Amino acid sequence: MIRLDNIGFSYGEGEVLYDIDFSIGPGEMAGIIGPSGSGKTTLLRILLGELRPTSGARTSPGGRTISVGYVPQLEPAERNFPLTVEEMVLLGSAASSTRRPWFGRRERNVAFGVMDRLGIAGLASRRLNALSGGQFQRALIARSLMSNPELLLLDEPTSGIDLGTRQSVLELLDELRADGYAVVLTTHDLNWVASHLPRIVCLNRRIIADGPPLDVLNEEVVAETFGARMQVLVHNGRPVVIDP
Amino acid sequence: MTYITEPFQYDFFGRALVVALLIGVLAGALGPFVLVRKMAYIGQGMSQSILGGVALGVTYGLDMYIGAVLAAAASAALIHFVRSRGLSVDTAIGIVASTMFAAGVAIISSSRDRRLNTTNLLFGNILGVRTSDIILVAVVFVVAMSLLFFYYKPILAVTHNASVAAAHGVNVKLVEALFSLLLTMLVVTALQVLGVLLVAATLIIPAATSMMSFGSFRHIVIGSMVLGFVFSAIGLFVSFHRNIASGPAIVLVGATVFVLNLATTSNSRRGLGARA
Repeated sequence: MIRLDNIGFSYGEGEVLYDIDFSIGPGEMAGIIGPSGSGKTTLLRILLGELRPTSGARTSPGGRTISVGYVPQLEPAERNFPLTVEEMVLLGSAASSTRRPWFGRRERNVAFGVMDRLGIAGLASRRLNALSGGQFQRALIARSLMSNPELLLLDEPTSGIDLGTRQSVLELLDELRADGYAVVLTTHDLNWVASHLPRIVCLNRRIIADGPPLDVLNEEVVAETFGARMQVLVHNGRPVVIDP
Repeated sequence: MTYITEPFQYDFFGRALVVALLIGVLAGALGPFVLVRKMAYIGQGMSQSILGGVALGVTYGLDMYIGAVLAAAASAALIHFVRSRGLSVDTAIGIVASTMFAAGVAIISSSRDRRLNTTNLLFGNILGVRTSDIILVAVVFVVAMSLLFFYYKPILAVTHNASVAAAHGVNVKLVEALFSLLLTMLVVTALQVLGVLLVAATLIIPAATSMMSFGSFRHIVIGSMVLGFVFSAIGLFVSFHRNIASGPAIVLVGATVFVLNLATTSNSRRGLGARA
């Protein structure tokens, strides 16, 4: 669906990413992990099309434009914005909607369908600042689905939410993946990715390792990615990183 | 009843009322966006900056509004230039707006042109509203409200989260330019009735009052427009009967309603304005 070949990116003199080869297709889900400053968000913004790589190529089959849904990090300012859940979800179709200042019945039906699927239809008229962290995360995902995307990009979807909510968000993302969406997320939560996602990408300016957690997560890869030596154990067939 | 009918014996009052109502509604419509974008300071800075342009325009025989538009464009360019040198936006606005305001006061104080009345320019003067002002404000009102009507959804999407809006196909640069244009149109045309010092207040007060009362942004915008209309109408009558400048009268009416609303609204409905 989308492919990055030998991508490099720099802000002026400093090289943020180099030698990046990455691809993702329909029904696949990958988690990008790495320390702060490793280039996770930059890679996400290149996938998003917001940043143009300074070298290499971002391509899609037949050169067609891939529709992308984007879920940003949870930010208090966005949550305190005076909007209802329905209003925010509908903004996901602002670019393709009519020029009238209100949304039509068809768009509202789509929005309610998406909200219903994500379990937040009953909260449609509630203000954003009255939602729990998990409910708000679902509302953000609902907004991203309004543009009917093929690729879903999520920036740190597990930060700022509790363990139970993380699990429900993951289940939701897995359902979307099973429906054919390509899902890419960034996180610094190593064990959450290792124990829940089918594929992880260890990034530190370049891709250190890319594959199923059990295949790629070992002490050498963790040390090279995070610059610190940590013990890696296997529990129930899943790797567990012991943070000393 | 005389309180309402008496002012209409004077032609200037009808003209001023039309202009004030149009400006009140337009400011009310833009206000909620300005508030959640945390741009109140920009509105204040832009309105102060145009004083120099107005003074130069009048002194050198140009139309007041042309001077104001040129000054607004110059202030936007200067703020952008100062920011490009690494200074924060509030510092850039503070420096540029204060300097251009000081230049305006300096030109006015050294000029003997009777059209340059400091109090009128700073606080508004309903006696000075001409028929040509009504035509100008009406045209600006129709254009600005049409732009806001047709671009409401993209402007709201960008205001809430520009990165997400861009990812979902909204042309963020176009929307940002459009919003700056709308703000400039308001600030320049509000000059005659509100004066350069009080334009920002008419953007903020109706919007903040409405924001405390409604949860949906659409309702906040509609409420703010209604309040802008009401504050302008009552303010202008107060201005006439109490013989005070129109700008302060409109702002004081709005501030009174805001305080009453503040006193009677629960904490949970306050403090909603923030930009992502």
